[in-house]
Amino acid sequence: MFGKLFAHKTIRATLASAILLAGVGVATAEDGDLARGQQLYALCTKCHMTNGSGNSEALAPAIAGMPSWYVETQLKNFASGIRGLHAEDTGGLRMYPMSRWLRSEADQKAVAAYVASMTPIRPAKELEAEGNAAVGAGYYAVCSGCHGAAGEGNQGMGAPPLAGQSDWYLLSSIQKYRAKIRGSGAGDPYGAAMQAMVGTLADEAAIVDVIAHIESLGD
Amino acid sequence: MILDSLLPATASTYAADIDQLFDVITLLVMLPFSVACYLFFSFIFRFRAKDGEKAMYITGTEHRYMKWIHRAHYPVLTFDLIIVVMAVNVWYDVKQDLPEKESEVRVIAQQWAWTFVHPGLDNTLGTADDITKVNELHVSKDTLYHFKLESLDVLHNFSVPVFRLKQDAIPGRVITGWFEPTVTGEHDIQCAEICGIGHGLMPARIKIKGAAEYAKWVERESALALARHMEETSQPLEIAQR
Repeated sequence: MFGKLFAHKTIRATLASAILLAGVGVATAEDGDLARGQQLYALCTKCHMTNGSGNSEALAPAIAGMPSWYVETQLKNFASGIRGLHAEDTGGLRMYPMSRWLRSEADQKAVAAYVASMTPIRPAKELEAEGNAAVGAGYYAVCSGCHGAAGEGNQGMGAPPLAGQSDWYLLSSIQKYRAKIRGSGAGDPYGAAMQAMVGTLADEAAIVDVIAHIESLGD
Repeated sequence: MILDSLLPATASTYAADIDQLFDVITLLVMLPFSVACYLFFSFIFRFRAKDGEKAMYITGTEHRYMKWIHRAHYPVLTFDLIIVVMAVNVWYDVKQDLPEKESEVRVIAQQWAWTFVHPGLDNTLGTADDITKVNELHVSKDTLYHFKLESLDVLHNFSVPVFRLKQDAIPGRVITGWFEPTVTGEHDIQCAEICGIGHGLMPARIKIKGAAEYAKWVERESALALARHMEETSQPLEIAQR
């Protein structure tokens, strides 16, 4: 019965097309090209928006222009459960399953390359609390060792750029590191380091001050 | 059971009752459906166009025609009544009756994950030794559980196919239900309510253990939970809202 079914020319042609299309997908994914990344990024637009500006309502940070090494690392961390599997990490628990849509390293690289190619967008201020950037600069001295004096990031230290990141996301990340909601996954040495580093921020006021300083970087 | 080969294994006290209801509904619906199909197609064949025979126009208002419709209604209505009575009985047992609990578990749904909070050694929720797991529900065989179902964001549905259990999770409400696992094993938990783009990617697992194995698991995990709690309370922190 199945022999006859597959002998039918329409079904044969459909199967041949499907195999051909699958082959094309694999080939472009291996190249890690921007076209493949843009195609895959369509799924991310639901939360991170088409221009990568992020959306605080969806708990999705701005990612446009983030370096590809960082995006790729985070995609891998989410997919393997190193990040995003803590019961109180609401945003992470959303990202954990979504990262698993990318089923190969080539696809992760392609999306990371596309995100890096996007034009960074300066996010609007969302936090109501007004921090003191001058005081925050003092606290930031510790951060600058890895994240850079201008918040430009440092791949060698595994530190992403901070300048241009949404204020709400910076606050959320620092709070998660402090509460050990983020950075506790096995195989996340940089996360563990961040848990220790945020300990230098004594209270909520210090956090808001340092965020005010970070937001002033790149002005 | 007629549908045994088509349905997942059964692993709760009420799963067999629901399967039996499936069977009764399948039988009682298939019977009139088969008769109707037989008559429909045989009449099409029997009264097909023939040379020299003109079609007869029937308004269907005369008693000798109407009686075939009326008579068919009686068994269909009787079958409906049987289904309603049986379904109400099963519904009452599964959804309305709440047998006394031996343990309980919190089930928290969110886009797109499940968080399960199990009681620790004290078998009481809301204490320091509670065991929190993401996408893993651990239960003990032959123990009657109450579950407290919540949603953090949108509508979800807590579905455990081997239990034949489905319950909507509604933001702002804590919905109580129950189940009693009857066999050990590991099975799927799924969200059965479209809840956003990651809906298809929020599966979890239920791990049904024997009493001794479950007791060991609780002992180990509640000790870890207590240790974490001690560490956290020594450094009081405001938990992030995002």
